[in-house]
Amino acid sequence: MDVIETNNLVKRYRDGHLALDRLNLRLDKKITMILGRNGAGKTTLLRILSTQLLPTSGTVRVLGYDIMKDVKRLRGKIVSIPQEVEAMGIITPYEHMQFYLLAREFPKEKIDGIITKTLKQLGLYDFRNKPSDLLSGGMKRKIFVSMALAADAELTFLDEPTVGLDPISRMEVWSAIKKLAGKVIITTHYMEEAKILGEEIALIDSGRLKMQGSPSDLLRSLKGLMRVEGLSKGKMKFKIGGTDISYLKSSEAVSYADRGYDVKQLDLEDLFLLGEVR
Amino acid sequence: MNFRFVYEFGRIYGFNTIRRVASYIISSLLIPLSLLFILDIVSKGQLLPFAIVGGLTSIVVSNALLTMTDAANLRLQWKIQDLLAATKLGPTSYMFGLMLNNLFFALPGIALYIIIGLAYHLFTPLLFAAMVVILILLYIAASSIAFFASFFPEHIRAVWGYTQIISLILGLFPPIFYPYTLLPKDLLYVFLILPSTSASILIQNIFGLTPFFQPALYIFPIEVIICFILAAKFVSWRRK
Repeated sequence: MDVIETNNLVKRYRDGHLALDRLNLRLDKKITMILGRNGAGKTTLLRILSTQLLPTSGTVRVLGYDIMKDVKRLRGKIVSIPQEVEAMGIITPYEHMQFYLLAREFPKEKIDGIITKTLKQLGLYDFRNKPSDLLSGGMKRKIFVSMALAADAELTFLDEPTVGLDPISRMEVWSAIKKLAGKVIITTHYMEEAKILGEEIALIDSGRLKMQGSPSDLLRSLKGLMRVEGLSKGKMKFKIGGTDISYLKSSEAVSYADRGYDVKQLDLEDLFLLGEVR
Repeated sequence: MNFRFVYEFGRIYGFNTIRRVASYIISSLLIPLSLLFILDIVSKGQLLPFAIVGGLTSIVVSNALLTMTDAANLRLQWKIQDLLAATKLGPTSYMFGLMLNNLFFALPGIALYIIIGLAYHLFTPLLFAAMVVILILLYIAASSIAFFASFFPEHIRAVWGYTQIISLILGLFPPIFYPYTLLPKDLLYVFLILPSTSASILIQNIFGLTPFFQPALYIFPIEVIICFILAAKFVSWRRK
């Protein structure tokens, strides 16, 4: 059984913006990264999958449950941490966790142990009783990652979980996310994050699935191509911030290296651009 | 209904906030004291009983309406509602949590009025109990209206405008601080669609401040039920 299955999923907002355009997606039990540029439709997709947002049309099954018909049963099995969620000012990290775990119907007597363990894991324990207003942006973000870890649901959705975190905090979060292997779906536009965590990557652009596979599969699909910076040539050419970028066959690209162009091996970063033309 | 969540939400978000920011206690006492002072001076003591029972009603309504700014802030600004949407918690438990939270903010003012009412020998145990029941029902109705209304604004600054309008309609026009008998009959029936009107009339009635007005007795419970159903069943917990 697929963990996620969408068929012709469409989301058109009230202002007419088409965020998802007949998206067909199948995801199974891996750490899955949903990758895409800003506005690609990642957050909209995650919000629909986690029952926060109604789709316009199409069908969606999560853990085998229809998100429209079986919503109550599904909600007991998933956790979703929205990208823009903010800590409630005067409330402490410990209280945030309490609040969330009680909403998830955790037994009161078990909550203290779970919170302590999770806060320690993410380096928040020493700040557990400090009003969150007084914490740094990264620490506030970690409160919500802690919630997801503590809830330990069948499936966890994390929308841009490491935005605003320093490198050490980011590594702490990655280490924690790895413990959710097989039951976490993450959106990101950080390639480093996708490379480190992603067992499966789904690249979305303009509300449609462009590519899907393991990082090595996706890189393999780019095999034989190289990036030439400062050159505008061929079908796969782009202008990014005033710089021309062209993707050429390796044999051809190498010749440009001799002429002083900057020629590079492809990396996952290049998926963003190539995803648009494929 | 997740009763433990309701209690903890109220305790964490309401009681703990007041504990940490003592100025909330002072501000919650200042408004009722000011109203009491003005009404007593203007009426030369004649309207003091109205000021006391009206003040209690007013505190209940104004604190219930805070649910609107709180719910809108949690939805639009902090996105806490999105976080909770993917749990089994439904809007009813969430709303009752917010109601309990705001009740903590109202408690100092309520306590002050009760002390003043006792000092003026206005309350007997039976009348007091009847008033408490009416005020609890009014609190549920007004909070439900506020919760329902909080789902319409799409921008946090728009919420302030809505709150002002609803506060005016529910808290100023109804006969909270004046005898309902002063209202023209037609207007009285129009105002009866507001739960704060029927609750105020009932409270004035039980304290013998105005003649008994039977329609309020029947209309009030119906209004409470309708307001509650509106909030519990018709809010879009999942965004559109």
